[in-house]
Amino acid sequence: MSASVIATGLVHAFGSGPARSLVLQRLSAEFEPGEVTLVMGASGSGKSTLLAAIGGLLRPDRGEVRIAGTALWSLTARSLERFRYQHCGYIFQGFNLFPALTALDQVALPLRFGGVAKGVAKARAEASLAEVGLEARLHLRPAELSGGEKQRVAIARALVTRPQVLFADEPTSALDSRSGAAVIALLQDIAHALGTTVIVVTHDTRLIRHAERVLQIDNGRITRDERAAEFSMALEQPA
Amino acid sequence: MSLALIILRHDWRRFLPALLSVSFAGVLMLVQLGLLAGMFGTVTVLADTMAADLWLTAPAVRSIDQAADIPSNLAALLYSHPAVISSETLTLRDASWRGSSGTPVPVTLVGISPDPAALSCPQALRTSLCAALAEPDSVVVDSSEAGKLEVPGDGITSTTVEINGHRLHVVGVSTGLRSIGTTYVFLSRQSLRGLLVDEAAADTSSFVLASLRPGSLATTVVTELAALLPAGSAKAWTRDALSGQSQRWWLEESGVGAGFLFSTVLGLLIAVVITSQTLRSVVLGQLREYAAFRAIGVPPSKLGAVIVEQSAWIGAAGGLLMLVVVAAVSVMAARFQVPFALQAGGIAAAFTIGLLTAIGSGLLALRELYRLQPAELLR
Repeated sequence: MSASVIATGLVHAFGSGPARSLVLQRLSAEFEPGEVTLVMGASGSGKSTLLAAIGGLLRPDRGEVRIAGTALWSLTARSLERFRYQHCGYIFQGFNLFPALTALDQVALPLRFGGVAKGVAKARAEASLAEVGLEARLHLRPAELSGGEKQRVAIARALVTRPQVLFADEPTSALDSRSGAAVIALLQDIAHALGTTVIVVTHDTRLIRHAERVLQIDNGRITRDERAAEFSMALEQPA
Repeated sequence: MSLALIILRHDWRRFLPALLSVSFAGVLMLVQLGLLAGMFGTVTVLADTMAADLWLTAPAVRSIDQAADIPSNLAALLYSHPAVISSETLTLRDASWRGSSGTPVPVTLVGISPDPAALSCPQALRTSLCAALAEPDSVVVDSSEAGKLEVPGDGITSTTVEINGHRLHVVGVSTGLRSIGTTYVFLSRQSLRGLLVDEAAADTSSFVLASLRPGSLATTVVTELAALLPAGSAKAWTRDALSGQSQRWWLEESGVGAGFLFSTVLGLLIAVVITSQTLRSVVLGQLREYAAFRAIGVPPSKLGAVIVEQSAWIGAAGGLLMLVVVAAVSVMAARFQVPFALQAGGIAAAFTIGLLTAIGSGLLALRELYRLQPAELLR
């Protein structure tokens, strides 16, 4: 169930002519299974674009991404969709939950869209919600859940298809610090327990102690790539 | 319950304008259609309610209300066809009616046989009023015209009136013999002759009616009569053909049909715009949720199916609401004696058009879904 993610020579620019700005500049990186890797950087550093490119959501101008040996950007659009469904999970800053659906229905939905029978989908959704500690909140709608609980539902929804790679974009920025800490701890538990490759884009330095590795990005390039422990030590030492 | 229905039920307020616009367009269409059909149905009220299978008219007649004279002796000629078992003439004449106030009202006199079994006795007069017309100088009018003709609508009080300067009396009031364009006054052929200035008019009639032997095919008889009738003297019709042609003529030639088509298309356009805009705004409101599913690789066609299913439900619910409103309108119309006629075909067509309008609007709203880039969630 583990897969490494290898990005090589990613180049991407937005705009054209004089307004063209290079957001990824020949960026290469590898992400290991069973680890939480934080991708950090200032706004506009290119970290979200990197996540989109390695997550199979945005075709880079150049470069390739391999997940579990498959070259994503050589696939047809339909095959890429199928690949994402089978191997990738996504967690977004806004939780993107349907207001009409209960937690159980939200989490069962990806399976239902994938053609899984209703009963099986419900059972797997319940198990997934139990993994994020929401077994008592199965029948509540988003309006009845706290921010932290909503993000847990979103995580359960991402987990229910058993992805090998979990991509998270600012998963804690809409949460208070306690809920945020609980969410990142949950992601780390998932990485350790399931061997999932977890890649988290964030600017929140408090998450570092729940990660194995930190990539610092600036101007479309990796400027630092360190184990989390070293990174936080460096942060604590005054320059 | 499907995702489409769960969302519909939870966010029904947001979908309500679409539902209302679908049913509004349907009601608009059906009420117009019902009024038109009711109104044009009155043009052919004589053909539709008299017992004749076959009608002879002047050759140039395109609609029953444009009667021109044909020789009365054609009624006798018809008997030479083996399928004809009875025939008689029907004469319509324009006249001036004066009620108690003395104001002249133009009317059409309908000279019939004062016999309930006669071909020219309309269904509504068969129980007693046809026989009552045997009394000289007696007339029957329809209750819907009673006000205009200054006749008590109860049909009990006898009223004396003046037609073309002669005094006659109203012996009864019928229901359901209203016609647009003219006011029918029923009287016996005998009474009619007494009112006519032109003596020669007695030799001509507006129509000749015939009934056929049971089992004979009216359309075949009509074809055979074309050879039997003197060239250019008259044209034979089956009752349904005359009725259908008259209503079509009114629909096409009067311009009312074009007006109906125009306002129906306008109503449908409004429904499409409101429905698709409503659905579009609902889709836009949930674009981030849909985008999250696009990200995990759910193809847009599967998400689109949710929206199309929602549209179909809106169309069906809008159609049901339309049926309820139209039923209420038809009850009201009956109560106020407004001619209103709807057939199952028209209702089914309106329902289907509403459903297709909603589904079409849903398909229009799908553009947002196909335009969606899940990477936009990452900004």
